[in-house]
Order: sequence, then structure tokens, then C-alpha cells
Amino acid sequence: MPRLLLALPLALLTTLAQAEDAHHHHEPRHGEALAAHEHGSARLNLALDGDVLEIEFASPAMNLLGFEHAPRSDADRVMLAAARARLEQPLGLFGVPAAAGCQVREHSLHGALFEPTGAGGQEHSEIEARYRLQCSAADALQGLNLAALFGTFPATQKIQVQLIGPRGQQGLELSPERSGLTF
Amino acid sequence: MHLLRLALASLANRRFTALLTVFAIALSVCLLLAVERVRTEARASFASTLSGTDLIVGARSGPVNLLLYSVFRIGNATNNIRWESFRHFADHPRVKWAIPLSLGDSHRGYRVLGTTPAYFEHYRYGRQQPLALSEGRAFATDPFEVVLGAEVAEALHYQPGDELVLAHGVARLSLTRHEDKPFRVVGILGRTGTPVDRTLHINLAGMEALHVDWRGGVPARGGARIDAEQARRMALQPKVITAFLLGLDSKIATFAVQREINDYLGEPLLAILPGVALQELWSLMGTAEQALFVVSLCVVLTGLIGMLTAILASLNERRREMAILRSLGARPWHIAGLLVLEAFALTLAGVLLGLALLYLSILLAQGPLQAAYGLYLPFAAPSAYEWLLLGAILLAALPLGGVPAWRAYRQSLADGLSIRL
Repeated sequence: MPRLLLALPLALLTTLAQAEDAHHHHEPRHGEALAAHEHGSARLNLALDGDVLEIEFASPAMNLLGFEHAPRSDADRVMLAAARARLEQPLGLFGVPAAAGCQVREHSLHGALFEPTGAGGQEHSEIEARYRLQCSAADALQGLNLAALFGTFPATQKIQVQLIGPRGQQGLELSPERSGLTF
Repeated sequence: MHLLRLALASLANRRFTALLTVFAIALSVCLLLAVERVRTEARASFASTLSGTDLIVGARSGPVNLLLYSVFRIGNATNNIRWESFRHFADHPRVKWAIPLSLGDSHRGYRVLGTTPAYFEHYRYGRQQPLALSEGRAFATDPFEVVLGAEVAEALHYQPGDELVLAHGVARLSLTRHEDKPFRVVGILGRTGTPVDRTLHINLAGMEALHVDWRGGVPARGGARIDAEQARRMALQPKVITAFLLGLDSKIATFAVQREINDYLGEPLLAILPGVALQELWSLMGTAEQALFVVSLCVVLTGLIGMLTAILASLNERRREMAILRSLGARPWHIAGLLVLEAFALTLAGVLLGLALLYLSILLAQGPLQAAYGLYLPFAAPSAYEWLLLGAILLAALPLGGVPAWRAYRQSLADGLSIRL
């Protein structure tokens, strides 16, 4: 009997593992690095050099849309378009101070959900946005406040930040309660 | 003024208890300040070890782990990386300079670092300070030349021109020594206050030469041996290194290059931003630091409560003293003031003695601490924060002195003059 009890969780685990395997249709290429994907958490890279501010924001689609599958209904498509529109306005979203006079020079959005074919069979989906800003008064760019981002996408609970500024490199974690950072 | 004199005279009368109380407070103050100082200095020395490096690259593990073994020589690499990977990224268009690092050998407890002359040219510490040679020169083309860190040279009494033998592995008592291939000291670096001081620097070719005739983890025997002269004539191309440092042509490029390295298909690599990894390390250590701080605060509190006990206990034997003072015209608040002053004087003496103890221990421990842990404790005046802590301790003495003062205030006259059975 005890032996049977021991075997039970083991059997359960193997079934679970098999079920897990069945989920992954997308087979990564051999040797390809798989980025961490944690719902509620996003990553932000910021580099400020002279008058150029580079922003890279990567987040699980779940945080921004509430789903990670290809849009199925009209509601899904409306959500997707709305998120896209918000991501295309980085100055407000990332709380770039107006006094710095920043303008978006380049921007790009990546993510399987934005592709015309949709996300395919992929279980998890990331959305990545990159921006290059040029600021006419970079001295006024003392820091950013991401309160707007946390407000717009309330499913985002924390943002891991890698920051390169005039004072060197910093790493920090932002949350809705602590949403400010200084360069 | 009379009150102060009276308080001191009364204390002098009970000097043994008073001294013990002062000593207890002094020890606790010294502990609190020492914890605070080690904490801030550890942070400062870690932060100033590496500057100007945009990315550190090693085998894929954790950022903190990679930072610790590549820069601070703490712990070991989980895996090595291929020389081709290093070449691939050293030749990257955005990379301005690249320093390969190869670790694994040692000399009498000090780590040996295999690198290239780029190390002396591009490595920066503190506020962008370059490495400077205090004696001799950097290693050149001969594989068997070594440049010593300041502390290695000082502790082991090496001069340029001396010969030394490296040991395989990093254990202090190594069983295998590279006896057949001695190295010649060609230069000694100036003191930096970083792990560089505790490192022996050799050419990557030298590192390769040491192990060129090794088969299956042991040196070859008999005819298969390759001596130093033969090794010099061979093409000594390293096959693996432990990690490398990268300097880029613009800070903006950092994240793109980082991503490219992390997605490299040749082998699993990890690129970290040293400043970010350091912050991660602090957040890990933060809890332990706080615990230490709380413990030392509790020790200070214990010292102060010990003082309170001593004063309260003395009240009984000083009933006469208080009564005489009252009968000579002292008012109750004089008696109360006397006791508060006493508590304050004891704490002040404790704080001063604690400071003296702290500086004495810094003086004594400075050398050994730097040798063993690379932690440099400067002989500096207390910081603003330390003054604040000391002030808070002194302030805490006032309410504590108030307790016996209140008791004495209430009962000084009646109690001292009536006869207790």
C-alpha cells in the first residue's frame, strides 16, 4: 500500500509532463535561447546617451491584452488595435517629461499577434516595442515615471529595468507603487 | 555645573560598576559602527572594482554568479566558453575593445588570470582609473612572463626578475604544480584596492603553454613532456577561456549587443551589464544586511538597559547620598537632574570609548581583512549617518536616565531619612 501511495504522485507528474509537452507546438531551433515569460512582469531597457534616449519594452501579451491567442472575436481585435495605439505613443506611456522636448525618431512593434497570420499555435506570446527618441533639451530629462503604463495596462505588476544613463548602469524593479526612476 | 561635578564625583565613588557599564555600552557601539562600516565599505569597494565595461560575457548561468567569478574572483565558473565565440564578438562592429579572462590556476593562494595586453590598456576601476605599473612593464610576447598585483608582490616579497612556479587549481595546498615551466616577474601593478591587487596576470599563451602537454587532466610523463623551450616555439592558441569583458563604441548599442550574445547559436552565452548585476547582488544581500543591523541595534539596546539596571540598583545604596543632598538644600529636580546627567555621562563615555575601540580594531584588522577578503576599511572620520546613529544612542540615554530620576524625585527625602528595617 505505501508503495502504491508513493507511485501515485509520480504517475501524476508524468501525465502532467506529457500534457505540458502536448501544449508546445512551437519547437525552438536547437541551441536557441528561450526568453523567460512570466505573466504580470515586463522588461524595460533604457539607454540615455547625449540627446538620444533608447527605449526597449518587452512584455507578455497577457499583460497588455488579457489574452495570448490569435484574435478570435471582434472584441479581441479591438483590444489589439487599442494596445497598438497606446504603444505607438511612447512619450505619454513612459512618462517622458515634456520639458525635455523629445521626439520619436524611430519606433517598431514586434509580436506574433501583430503578424497578419496571427499567433499560430504558439502558447505564449510576447510583445516587444522599441523606440529611439531625440531630445532637444536632454538636460531636463532627469527621469521617467511609468505610472501611465501601469495605469494603461493594469495586469502589469512589475517591470525589470536595465538602465544606462550618465551615472552608469543601474538595475531596478518598478511596480505600480514605485513607478519612478532617475537617470 | 555643580550638578555635573556632583554626578561625576558620585560616579567616581562607584567606579567599578560605572566602568563596566561604560565598557558594555562601548562594545555595543563599536559593534554597531563596525557592521555599518563593513556594509558601506563592501558596497563601495564592489562598486569601484570595475568601471567602463559595458558587458561581461560568460557561460550561461546567473548574472550574479558570472559577475562574482569573472570580476571578484569569488566562486567558480560553471562552464568555459570557446575561443571562437570570443573572436566572433571581439570582431563585432560595435565592439571597441574586448578583454578575454581565463581563470583556474593559482600561486600560493592567489588566483592567476590569463589575459591579453588589452587588459592593461582597457581595464578601468574606481572612477575610470586605468591600471598603472609601479615597477617593470606589462607582459610581452614571451609566454612565461607574469605581472603581479600590488598585494601579491608585497605579501610574497617578489621583485621584477624573480621566478615563480604556478599551481594547477585554486586550492591553497595544490598537489600539482607546473614545476617545469617557471614564470618570470616582469612587472608589478600599483595598488588599486580591488581584486586586481590579489591577482597574478599572465599571457593567455602562457596559460595555454602550462597545459599544452596535459592529457586527461594530468601532466604528461617521459617523452611526451613539452618543456618551456619547446612550448615557446609552438603556436599557443587558447581553445577555451572563462569569460570576457566588452567595451562598446556607444552605450546605446549595449542592449542590442547583449541580445545578440544571449541569442548566439554557437554556444549558450550570457551577457550581463555589470552595474545591473551588482544591483541584483545588493538586493540579495539587503535582507542579510538588515538582519545584521537589527541584531547590532539590539545589542546597543541591551547595553543601555544594562546601564539602567546598574543605576536603578545603585539607588538603593545611595539613599543616604540623596537624603544628605536634599537636607543640604538640593531640590527634588536637582536629584532627578543628577541621575539623568549620570546616565548621559555614562552613555557619552561609552560612545567615546566605542569609537576608540572601533578605530583600534580598524587599525588592527585593516591588513588581514584586505588580504583575506579584499575589503579595505579606511581610517576615516565617522560619516553623517554614523554621527546620526551615535546621536540617537545619546538621545536614548535621556529617557532611560529619566526612569531612576523619576523614582529618586519621588522618594529622595522621606526614603533616605526614615529607617528601614
